[in-house]
Amino acid sequence: MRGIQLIGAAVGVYLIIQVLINYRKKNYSIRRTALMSLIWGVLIVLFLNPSIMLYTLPIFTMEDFILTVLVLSILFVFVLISDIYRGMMENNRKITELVQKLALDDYYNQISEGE
Amino acid sequence: MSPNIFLVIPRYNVENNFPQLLSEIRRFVPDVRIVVVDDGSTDINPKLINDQNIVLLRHRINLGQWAALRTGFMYSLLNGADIIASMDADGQHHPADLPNILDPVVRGETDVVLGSRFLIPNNGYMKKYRNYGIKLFNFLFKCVSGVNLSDCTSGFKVYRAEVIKRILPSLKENQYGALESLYYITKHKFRIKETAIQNIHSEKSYKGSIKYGYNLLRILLHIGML
Repeated sequence: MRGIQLIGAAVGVYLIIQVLINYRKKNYSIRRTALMSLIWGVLIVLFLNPSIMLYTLPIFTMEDFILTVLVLSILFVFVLISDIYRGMMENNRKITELVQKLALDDYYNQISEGE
Repeated sequence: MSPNIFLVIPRYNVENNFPQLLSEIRRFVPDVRIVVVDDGSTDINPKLINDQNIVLLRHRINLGQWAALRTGFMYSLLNGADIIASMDADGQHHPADLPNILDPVVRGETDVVLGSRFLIPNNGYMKKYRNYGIKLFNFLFKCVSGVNLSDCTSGFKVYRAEVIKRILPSLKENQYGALESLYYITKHKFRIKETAIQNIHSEKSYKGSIKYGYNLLRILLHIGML
């Protein structure tokens, strides 16, 4: 086993711990926690046993191992971006609800102060 | 007993003619309760709306026209509205059309009335690309929902309160919600009627821009996949 494999696996473990901490702090939903843990889990497995990628070659019918890695990387980036986008939309929704609630509360407070 | 009618007007930095618009509305429909939702304007002047009978709700930040409309809808529902109307604040809609557009819902003929600028031939000036753009969106909306409308992007609408109650939880768009709301109205099989309104050209309107068109396409794609 090469040093780079150990470093990669250690980074993966660190990222999983961060995901779990965020879940405990209720920053992440259960769905997001599961998705991120899966992604980093796969990363750890790939670092510790890179030859596992060879099994994917018949499925993807790719002759080049590098190409498989490239496709997986693009998929990974796509999942990550869509996850960030979903989080952003969720935050946007929460802000909207908050501003709308404040607008109604401000109005009612103003009315009650006037009386 | 006459129904409780609320008129929701979202506004964002449209200072000049706004008080005049409000007094015109009062002249044509004196019994309507006006709810102005200021969407985080930087030009807001409290004296601008000096009528005690007008409700002024204020968003602390700018969210978008449809977020402001939803706030107005929430207020209206909480205060016992039977009928809720909406119109733009930039002078695109003429208050003189309000009695006509309200009438079919007041008489119970329909659930939603859509003010259409295309039912009268040669109805005022409209930029060509905007005209064709609206026709394209009418066609695309028909493909998605199966309902044929002549002016699907119009913001001059009247709803039975029940309609708003049903569709409000589904509405997500903050700025470009016209097609989204119509989609949910058709999905719930509410009756829609179109009534002719005057077309008043407004240079201030954000509608008709490339960004607006792109976002309507995005929403059509989204609701088409639902």
